[in-house]
Amino acid sequence: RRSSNLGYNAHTIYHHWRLNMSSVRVDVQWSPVAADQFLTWGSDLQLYQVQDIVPSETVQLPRLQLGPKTAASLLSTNNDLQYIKCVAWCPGLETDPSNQLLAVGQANGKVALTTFSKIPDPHGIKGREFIPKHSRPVNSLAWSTQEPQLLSAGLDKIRTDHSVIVCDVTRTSQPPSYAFDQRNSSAGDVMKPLNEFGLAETAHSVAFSLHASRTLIAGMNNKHIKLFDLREGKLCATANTKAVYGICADVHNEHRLASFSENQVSIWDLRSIERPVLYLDATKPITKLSWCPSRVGLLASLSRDSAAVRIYDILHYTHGGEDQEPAVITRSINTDSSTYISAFSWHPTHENRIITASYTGKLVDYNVHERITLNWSATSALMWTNGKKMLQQIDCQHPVYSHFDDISIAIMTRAQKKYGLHVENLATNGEVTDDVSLRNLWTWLDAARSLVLTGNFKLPGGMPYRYQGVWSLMSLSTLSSDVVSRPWIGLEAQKPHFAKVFRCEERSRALELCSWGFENETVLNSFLSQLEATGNHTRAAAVAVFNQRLKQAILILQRGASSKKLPALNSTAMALSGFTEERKGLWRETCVNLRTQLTDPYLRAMFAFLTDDADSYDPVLGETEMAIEDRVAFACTYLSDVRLMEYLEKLNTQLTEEGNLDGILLSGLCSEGIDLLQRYVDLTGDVQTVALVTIHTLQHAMTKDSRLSHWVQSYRNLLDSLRLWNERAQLDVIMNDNKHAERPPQHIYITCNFCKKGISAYIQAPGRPRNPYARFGTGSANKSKMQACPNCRKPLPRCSLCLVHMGTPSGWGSSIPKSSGGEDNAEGDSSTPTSDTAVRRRKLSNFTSWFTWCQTCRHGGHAHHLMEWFKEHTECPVTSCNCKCMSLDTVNKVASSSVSVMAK
Amino acid sequence: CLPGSSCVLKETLRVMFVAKSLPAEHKDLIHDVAFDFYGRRMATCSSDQSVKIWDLNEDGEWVCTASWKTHCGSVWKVTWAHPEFGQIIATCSFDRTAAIWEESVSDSGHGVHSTWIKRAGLVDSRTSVMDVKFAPKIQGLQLATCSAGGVVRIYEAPDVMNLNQWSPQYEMNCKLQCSCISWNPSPSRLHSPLIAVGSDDPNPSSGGKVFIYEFSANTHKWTKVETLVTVTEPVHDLAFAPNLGRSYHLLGIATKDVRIIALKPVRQDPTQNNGSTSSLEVRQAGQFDDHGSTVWRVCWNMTGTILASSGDDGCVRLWKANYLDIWKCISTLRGETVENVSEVGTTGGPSQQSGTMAIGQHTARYFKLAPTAHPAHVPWH
Repeated sequence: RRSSNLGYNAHTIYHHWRLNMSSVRVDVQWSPVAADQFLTWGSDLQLYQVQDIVPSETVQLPRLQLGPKTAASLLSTNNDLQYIKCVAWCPGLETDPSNQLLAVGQANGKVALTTFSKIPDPHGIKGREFIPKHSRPVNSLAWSTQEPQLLSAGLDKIRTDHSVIVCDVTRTSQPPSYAFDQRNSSAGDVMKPLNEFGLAETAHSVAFSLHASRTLIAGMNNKHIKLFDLREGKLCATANTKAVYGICADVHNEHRLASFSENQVSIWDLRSIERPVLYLDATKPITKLSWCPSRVGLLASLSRDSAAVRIYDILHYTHGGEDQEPAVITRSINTDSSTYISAFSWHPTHENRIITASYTGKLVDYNVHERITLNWSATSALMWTNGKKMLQQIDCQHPVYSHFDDISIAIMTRAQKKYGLHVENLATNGEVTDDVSLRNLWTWLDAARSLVLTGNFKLPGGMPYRYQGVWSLMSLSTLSSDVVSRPWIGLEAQKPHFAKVFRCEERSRALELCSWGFENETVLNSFLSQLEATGNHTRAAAVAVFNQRLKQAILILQRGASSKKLPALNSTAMALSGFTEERKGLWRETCVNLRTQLTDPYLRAMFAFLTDDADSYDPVLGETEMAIEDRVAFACTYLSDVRLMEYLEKLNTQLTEEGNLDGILLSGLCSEGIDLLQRYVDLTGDVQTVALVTIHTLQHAMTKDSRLSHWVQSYRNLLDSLRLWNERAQLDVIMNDNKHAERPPQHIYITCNFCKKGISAYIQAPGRPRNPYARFGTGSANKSKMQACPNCRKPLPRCSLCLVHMGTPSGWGSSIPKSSGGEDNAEGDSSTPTSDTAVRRRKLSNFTSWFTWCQTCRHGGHAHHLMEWFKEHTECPVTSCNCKCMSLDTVNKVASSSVSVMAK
Repeated sequence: CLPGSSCVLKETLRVMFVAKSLPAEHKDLIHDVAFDFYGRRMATCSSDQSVKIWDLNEDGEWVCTASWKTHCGSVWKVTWAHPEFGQIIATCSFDRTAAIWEESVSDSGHGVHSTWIKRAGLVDSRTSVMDVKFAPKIQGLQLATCSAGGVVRIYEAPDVMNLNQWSPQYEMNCKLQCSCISWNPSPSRLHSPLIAVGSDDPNPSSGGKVFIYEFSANTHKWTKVETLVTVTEPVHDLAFAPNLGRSYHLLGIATKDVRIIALKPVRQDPTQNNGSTSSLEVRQAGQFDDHGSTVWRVCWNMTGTILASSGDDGCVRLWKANYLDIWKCISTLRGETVENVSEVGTTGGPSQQSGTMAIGQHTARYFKLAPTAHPAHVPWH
């Protein structure tokens, strides 16, 4: 036993060497009975067993890795037979898979029956042979599936013999008296053909028909497909075609056949064999063709020198008794792109499983994926198909979604946090996000809006301010600035130092927009202390230095060092105190050298400013980590007219190009600012922010620039799709408030049933309507009592449940304790009980008292009464009205899923 | 990275997740999945000639609420109309027809039942109807179909209350067999209506396979304004991205690779609005052969910022643009598993590019970061 094991291993290694080194075309075939076995043959027959592996497992020889999940080990080798031309595995069921009969066709015309079993088979069939009278290659072998003892072989042409033979393997005859070749003589019995056809013809391929029993189909002589009736022993049909190779019958459609010639596949219908039903073109000559046994209408073909198996999904229908032209979906399957495939085999039972062999001997066990369809929902759920019958989903709650970092989720969460709905203080909107540039944007918008609203801020020339930015303000007219020498304050030196600054009206306005409008000491000091209070000590220090307040800067840094526990700031303060105007001092040299190593942009800028030699200030202006307003304000203070305009234009262009919202400071919300916002949307997809900016500050421009209404419309649409209707409605309110639009027209008119005069005009509460939908209720005392038509004095309709007239309270409000009344609070933005009661007090009437009715049967009543009724019923509460009011409105499926649950 | 563009090496960190599974109960291959406007209802169609409607219940689970035989052949596509027209879907099939279905809710005594009633059959096509899509809401109740015979038809229900009547409005012959169609979903009147049609004609020498048609409000005609000549391989699917305020339209195309095309309407002087159609500036924003095989489907998320594509490699890949407007793969979904690719480092040279791209399954590091939603869902590594 031990020695046999050794022998096995040695053989396997030899086998691998053979597979890898030889250029013999390796063919492969799954076992028809054992789901985990397949055989390969090149020069000898090898039986393999497939095992499942875990993907991390490393597969070592002698095992072969077939794919990520499977490996194969050699079970047995049969090298009794040489010059194998073709192999066919008997489809009949055997209890022991190793007893499964194999028919092997050889180059000399012999067809041998063998098995992988070591022991002789009980029927004694193993070893039987068919030996033709004349030696020539066996081209094709086929077993009958209906009568598994029938074997057919197609042979090459010889003038004096038949080329198509059919044998019954269970019957034998005496060994022939003629032994044409001694090498071929064997111990086994010899089979005598049942039928012989095709005298002096060539048979390229043979197949048994699945349609009629004992019918054989053969491709002959490069020009015919012939049908033979085995019972009658005669030819029953012929089709003229060049597609005589690889005839195979479709197990899922007994009428259907496929065959190929050079690079064309023909699909045949046995009922009308005259010409093919369908041609399928391939780019290269075809070498193998096979129907998928586990899936309807799937045909695979292999071309010469091809790394892919081509799969045709043929969809065939009959409609109205008439066959329609089939649709074909062609696919290419690359099991292993590195080499050409020499053979493939469909798994007999596992759907879509295919094994391929390459010319290098590599075997790949592959699962042909079904075509995946997919779609994305408005709620960011992605659904796709996995295989034939499974759907896979990830939604926005899925952990992977956070990694996508997508704007769709940001928009949704921001909208839920009332982003853009804060009207009083626009800066509050920025607090919804962590995005610094968005926060800065809203802060700027708030400041700019207050400048617009107060009207105190006038542009040079006395024009009112309309959200201009620094750049648009500066480019209104040519600058002509005065040079002013500003003294350093708190610098203890022998002679006073001065800094050269530029002044003009435009510059002052620009500084104000950058919140650098330091008209007097107190404004500056409050600005600085505000920065300190928010922990921006270095920024405060830098601003102080830029305004010639060195002593103050040092103090700020010291305070920062103690409050933020950053002792490094103390040393910075120390360094700062050594400031000297000396051009070639040691202090200056050291600062220049060490400045770049500072991590804080403001400290870097501060020292760059102090050590600047030629008034170029390039290192300060190039400090992109500094807030945009500080950079711009610095430029407006220290740069000459020409350089300032150059700098601002360059910065404006760059920020617009980047879609950087910081650029709003420069471009304002004029047409250039809209370009910037457009660029921002193009790059980020954040339509929300630009739509909100438009609604709050740009409504006046909406008619002029269609882009703005596009943004607003897109965002409103998005909110609707996300079912954030309350948020959308609030947005509409804000829009109309800003527009001072006319009162929207009434949506619904109510007329008296008797006199046909409208009653709504009388019933509406004075003042503007709180809601476009008509509300009828008299729960509060400040409404006129109205139970009858004010015109004809006839009573108004009754509530179908409490039977009192419309216009009377439902009697519900008093019965509900105040604390639990939160559920009928329609404007549900209240989370605390205090605001809840506040909202209740603001209301004129409770929702419970509203009068509502069915759109179909026109019966109605108090809203709450009806809601209670329809909790248990679907039909109208009015006697003998069987209107199914509750189930009529299918839109309610969207609002609540309760109906769909009921539908289960 | 775009081919030819200078790339910065991204060290990638791969994270594995498990997706939620839902047995679809179809008897054959599912060809299309469609969501309604709110993403709360879903329709699936299959080769088993049926359509199923799914509703999201309170627990966030999809429940099949209707299933019926719709056609005498494979149902290729299903699509929802905007809810303001009612609960309406359209289907198209291999049986050469398209059909309009409306939901009707009835009470059978055992609870509320939803049944779908065929309102109209569109039988003008003499070949398989490959795709059907409702127009954006702003254009009213319109429907476009395309057929294997190469004809695009646009139908309209003149009376939105009467879904039995659909009149053919326009017929465009693309001359090549059509496989897919997409309306430009822009809700704004700023953009004139656009339709993109894809052809899966297998012959590359027959030229461009994507046609863009534009509707001119002045002439009341659809005219072909563009043929994407760079796409010569068969096109299996295409989709306009939802245009949320962008100055250009994005078109995702599934052909032998994934293409992302930006179509920018060239702004015209409004004074010269003499009825001539506006021109489009075509720019290829991305081309990716990561699937390594035929790409079958593409679809966009609601903001048009992530494109999902599915290919013959059995993977779904997600594509997203960064701040420099460079599109790249951010995630691969294979079977039940979701492999997320997130960027960690941003340094390195282009020479190492090919190395990282070829990481593949063997050298990738897998991490399981988050707990799986269901104990039965165990990710395989």
